[in-house]
Amino acid sequence: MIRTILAVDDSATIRQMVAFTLKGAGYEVLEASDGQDGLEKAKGRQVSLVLTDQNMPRMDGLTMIRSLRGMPEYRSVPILVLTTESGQDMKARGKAAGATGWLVKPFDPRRLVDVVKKIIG
Amino acid sequence: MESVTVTAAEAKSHMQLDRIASTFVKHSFECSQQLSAAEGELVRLQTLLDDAMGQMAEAFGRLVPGGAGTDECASDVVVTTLQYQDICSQLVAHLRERLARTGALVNGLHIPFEAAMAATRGDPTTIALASSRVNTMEAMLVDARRATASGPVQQAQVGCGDVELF
Repeated sequence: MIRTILAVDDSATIRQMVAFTLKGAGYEVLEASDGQDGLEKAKGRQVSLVLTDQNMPRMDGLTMIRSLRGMPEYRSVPILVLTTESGQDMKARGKAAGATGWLVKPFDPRRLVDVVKKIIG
Repeated sequence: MESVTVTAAEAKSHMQLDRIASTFVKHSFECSQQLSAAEGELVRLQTLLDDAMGQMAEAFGRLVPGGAGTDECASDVVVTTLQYQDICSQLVAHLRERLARTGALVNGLHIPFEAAMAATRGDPTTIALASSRVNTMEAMLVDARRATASGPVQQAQVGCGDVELF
């Protein structure tokens, strides 16, 4: 069964790079352009992992994570934050919001695949 | 020696003038600091762009048939360096915010002068109004410092970021 990953980022370049990397590793990638779009795309879909940016228009990543954690079907779905933010304070806020992990941009394609495989197989 | 008697109203005016002068100095200093930080961010932006484009050009040479030999890692380099478009965009957005706030501070630099003139005229209503405007300026200064204290981008050179699982 092909696992679906929801990639949320307002940068089309980042979404393209994430999709290129993860599709190459055999995953299906669903794209969303901000937190609001991410929530709408997540509803009613079986997503194995969410990969989200933090700074986005309309709705940021941590707000989206809190909303997802409030949905029964996303209570235990791994959510990784992929962002330029590397401060300990932001990481702590991410953890408190319900994030599973924190990746600082730019991501190394091989390392991203390794992390995703480690989490969802 | 001639003694000088200072009335309570004069003393209050002097205090107002001291505060206004102090506000002007703080604002001037903040504008200078913000512009210096903006210059540093522009240098960082240029370094990031130059490094990213250099690495991408080098990787492109390895991907093109007939180039300096193909390399399967070259596509990884391209994927990594293309992400700098997003990183640089965020740095530019932060820089624009810094410059907008600095512009607002510069535009408000006339307020202490107006307040000083009001204080020398000694009219209590005008002084109270000027004092209120100086308070607004001080609030703007605090907001500008808070909003620009740390940007969303800390990267100073091209390289992959850390991974931390909670």
